[in-house]
Amino acid sequence: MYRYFLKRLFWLIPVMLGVSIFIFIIMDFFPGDAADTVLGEAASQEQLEEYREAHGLNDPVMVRYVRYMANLLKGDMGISYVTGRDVFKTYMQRLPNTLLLAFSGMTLAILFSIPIGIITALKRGTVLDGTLMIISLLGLSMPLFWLGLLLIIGFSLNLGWFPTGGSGDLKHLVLPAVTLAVAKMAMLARTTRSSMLEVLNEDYIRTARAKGVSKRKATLKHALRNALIPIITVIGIELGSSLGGSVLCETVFSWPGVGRLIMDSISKRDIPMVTGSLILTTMLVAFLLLVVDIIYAFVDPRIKAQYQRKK
Amino acid sequence: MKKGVFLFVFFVVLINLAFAGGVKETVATPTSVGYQNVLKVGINMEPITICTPTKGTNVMCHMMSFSTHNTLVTISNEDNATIKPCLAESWDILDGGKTIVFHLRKDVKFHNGETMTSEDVVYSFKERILKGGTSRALLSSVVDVVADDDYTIHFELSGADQDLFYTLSAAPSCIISKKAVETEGDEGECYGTGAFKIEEYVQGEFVRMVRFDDYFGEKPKTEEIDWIIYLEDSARELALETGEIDICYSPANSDLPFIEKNPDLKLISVKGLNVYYIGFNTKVAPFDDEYVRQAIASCVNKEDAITVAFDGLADAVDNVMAPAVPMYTHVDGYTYNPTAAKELLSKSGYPGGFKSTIWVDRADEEQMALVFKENLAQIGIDLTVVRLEATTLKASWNNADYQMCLQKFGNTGGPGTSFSYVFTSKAPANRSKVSDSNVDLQTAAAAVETDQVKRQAMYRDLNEYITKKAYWAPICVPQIFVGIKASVKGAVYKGNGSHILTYAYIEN
Amino acid sequence: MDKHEFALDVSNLTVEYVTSDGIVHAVNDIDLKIPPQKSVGLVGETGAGKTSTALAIMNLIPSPPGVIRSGKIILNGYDVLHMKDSELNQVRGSEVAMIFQDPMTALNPVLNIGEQIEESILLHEDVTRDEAHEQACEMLEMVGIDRSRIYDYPHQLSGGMKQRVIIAIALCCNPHLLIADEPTTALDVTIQAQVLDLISNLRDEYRTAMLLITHDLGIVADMCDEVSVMYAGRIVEHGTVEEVFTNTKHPYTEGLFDSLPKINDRKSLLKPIIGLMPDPTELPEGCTFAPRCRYAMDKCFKRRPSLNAISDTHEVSCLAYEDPVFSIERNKHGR
Repeated sequence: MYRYFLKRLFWLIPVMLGVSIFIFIIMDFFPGDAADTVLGEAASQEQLEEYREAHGLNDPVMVRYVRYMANLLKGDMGISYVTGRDVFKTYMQRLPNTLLLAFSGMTLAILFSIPIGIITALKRGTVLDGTLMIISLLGLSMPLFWLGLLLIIGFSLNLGWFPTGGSGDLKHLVLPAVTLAVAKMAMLARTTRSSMLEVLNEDYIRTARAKGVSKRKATLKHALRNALIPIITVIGIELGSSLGGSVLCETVFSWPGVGRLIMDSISKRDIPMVTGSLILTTMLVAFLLLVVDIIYAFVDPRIKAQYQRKK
Repeated sequence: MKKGVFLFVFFVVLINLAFAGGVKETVATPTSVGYQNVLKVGINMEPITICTPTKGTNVMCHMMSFSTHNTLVTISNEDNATIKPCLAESWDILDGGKTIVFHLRKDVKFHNGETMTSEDVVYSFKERILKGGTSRALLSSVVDVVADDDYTIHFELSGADQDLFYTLSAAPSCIISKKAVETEGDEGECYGTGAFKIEEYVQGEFVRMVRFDDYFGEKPKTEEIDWIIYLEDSARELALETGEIDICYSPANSDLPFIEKNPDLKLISVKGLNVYYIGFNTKVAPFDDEYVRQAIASCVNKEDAITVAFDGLADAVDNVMAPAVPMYTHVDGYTYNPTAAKELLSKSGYPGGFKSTIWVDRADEEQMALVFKENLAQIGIDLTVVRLEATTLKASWNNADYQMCLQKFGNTGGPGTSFSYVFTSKAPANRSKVSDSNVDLQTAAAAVETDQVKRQAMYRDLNEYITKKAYWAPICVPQIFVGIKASVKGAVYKGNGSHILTYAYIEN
Repeated sequence: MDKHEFALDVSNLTVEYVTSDGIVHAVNDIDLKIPPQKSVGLVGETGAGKTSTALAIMNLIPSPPGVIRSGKIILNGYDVLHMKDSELNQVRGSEVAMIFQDPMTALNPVLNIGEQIEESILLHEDVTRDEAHEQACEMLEMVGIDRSRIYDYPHQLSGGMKQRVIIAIALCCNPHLLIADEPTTALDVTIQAQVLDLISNLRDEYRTAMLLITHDLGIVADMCDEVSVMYAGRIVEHGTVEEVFTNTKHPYTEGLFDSLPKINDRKSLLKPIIGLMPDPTELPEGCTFAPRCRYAMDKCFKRRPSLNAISDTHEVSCLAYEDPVFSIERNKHGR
């Protein structure tokens, strides 16, 4: 099993190569380069050319790529064209904020959506089920931006409980985390519900009930664990997507996360920053998915057996 | 199973706590004698070049640099035209304006403790500003900058550049410490001579400035200014309402009523400097035809556009020079008149109209362009509005399919910039690709005309000539808004958006 | 052991499923009695309502859509339909246990078999975890699986072994009644006999009454004392195995026998019962078997027959016997 996971880790290398090539080529397709964005409107044609020459922007994309990768192998992710600051350091400065927001949002989402999913599955077809599912549909379709502003107006402006934005103590975290959680919750509650519905109809639930296991225990011990695989998958995917930063949430709440950094860098054609951030994010997400796979093995012995066979 | 869930939740909570512990606490604002210690300003964009002010390209950085750095001369806050001493306490204009000698103050200290001498000034210009600095294009008349002694320098110019002082007063022409840049690289530029020094810049979050005690001028009453980034306009306005910030930069038009009706807040509005205009690719048909451009200029309903894009909070303009620019004289331009437009178009080579595209990059421009699409349909011009991402647009001016654009231009320098920046054949932002020897010659002549009355007349003529030729179809100048706590005093609000907040304070 | 007249006494049981396509009449007013330690077979085609009957006895009809419309179920003295769920949980597994049709899906895939057996013991007996574990090991050996496999997960076991585990779960708390719902249908033929032997032996040992649900008359002959034949939610014939097999009365029962291969007469053709079971949402007005019955008369389509005693132990629900000389084919040629 460990060998299987080691192998998975090694696969990260070609993934990174692929991602970086992809980013270079895509960024090359975009019109405009860092010279256009860094130098501003006043820049003359010569100034632009000077800048491009100095930063090697005139070289063909493959030359730039090889140069970048050579530096990367030396552990150097380069410096940002725009700020002149170290890419790795800049990313790492933002990452804790992104992780904090992603994990708290997800935790909140899990704490609420899994019970909701279970209750609606158990009370399928009742008014409670209908109401909760409509609410979750609202959560799914509500624009994050609008929800964020609504929360700010309610909890910052009218009640004064939380600040409108920025990062700092736990108070700053509450509103962005709730906003993010609402968006994630809807998806997670629906997955939990459908997965639970499927499992609750399984024969082994009937077996458990026939043994005298209470409905509650049959649901929580026998059904939930079997229903967990799709739920964990969705959690993994949602968490992975938050690791790239939630641009909308970060913008509304002035939360200094990775999402805004990447967005800004793309619009500024800051290739070292974009490439570096995306490579690091990809690694994080790949690592997360690996963790998800490991969790699968703990939840379901059949999957564990598969891993053991694969070595 | 239960154990598993518990462990998972525990793990997540642990991670959260770990990070929460690592995130910095914001400094509380203790109240002390007289004035609020910390002034908090909500800003709307990343002040990326705050630590390299000579490369500052956006208004935000210019505004902030005015609190940390100084220029040789400065423009009066009263009339926005008179040149006043700053780091240079006086100057002599020699050689009919081709040599300018600056006498520097002797009591100026940089934030790193160094004393400013002519060496720093010469280095600032020759190694930074004239080499890759933002002001470089406007300083093309500078042949050399020479140190005469420790506190005297002189500029050698190719001509009697009359806009030089305006350019020298702009934030990217600020003086930085030679030693700091030589030892710390680009970001050594962050050590200025201003009333505040940069204490911390956390990208994406805030810039913290604290009062510089060795500042040569009047000491500010506020000890610290925190410039906090709120990218979302409404969130920034809400932060002002909750009292998290004292000054809200550029609130959205839709949020202005909330500021106005709140007795604790005050809405500041200033006449702006940004001219929104339609530019034409005059290199290609049909826009090489004067009548076509004039017809379009007379067929756009500016009032409607202002209502749609700025909730009516902008002034319609018909001159290519903005009214707030020094030496502006109004001339008659084209106003909305579809009948006249039809007549003009009938004199052109395209009496029945044609199809065209107009490029924009911001939302307000798109809204206006859509109004004009309707207007121009009346004279048979079928306009397609194309919104491009900002950098894509910047890189696309030389594309063959460029026909029309709706852009803005803000002249923050002298009157000459209104032409040399956008209309001369070598102008960096010449969106209409104007190549008119008359414009080139007149602009060059006006730039070095030392008789100011004559010079003003020359700019009037240029303004009239270009306006009549309709190289642009000028649309409007939006008002500039700032939301503040009613108790904020001492700030100077500028039409170019580069407000001077150095002396802003709140009395307890 | 409590002494009650019957291990199971079901009367007037009606089970319906309320679906969007209409009400499915799964079980219609049936009576079923199992004396202590006796074994009763419940025979019928797929869809006859056998499994619904079994689930109703456990009060485990999935609801929605299932509804127990009426009836009374007395399980070793417990009035199953009038007990709270928490009380019922004490009955399930200890008074009555069930063996399911498909061992492949009846075990929880994420729990090892030890946990699944111990769970039942811990629920019903006042023992420690270690004692429960030991009992589970013993139970496993009892059903013929080595105790070393107690930590195995279901996916590591073959189908026959899984069914043995299920039997272990069912019998570990020594129930008075065992409901076996087609316990061998999903198994290989070679294993079927082993599993049946196992059930039979363990039942003797634990002196458990059994309701054996099957469509296989051969198994009934081997395993049961009495048999009820079910058709479209009704019991059409009930009697001792001897009576039903040798003195078959109901035309449907006859049809079941005819559709079996005959060991003595291998050349004879199998005679399947022609037609299909009626749609359980729209049961015919008269005898539900009439449309398929070769003896059907006009009155069979109009009047519903009731279960009438032929002897002390033998009952049949057929209008044809209103004519005292009526006899089905099987009995004419049989002797």
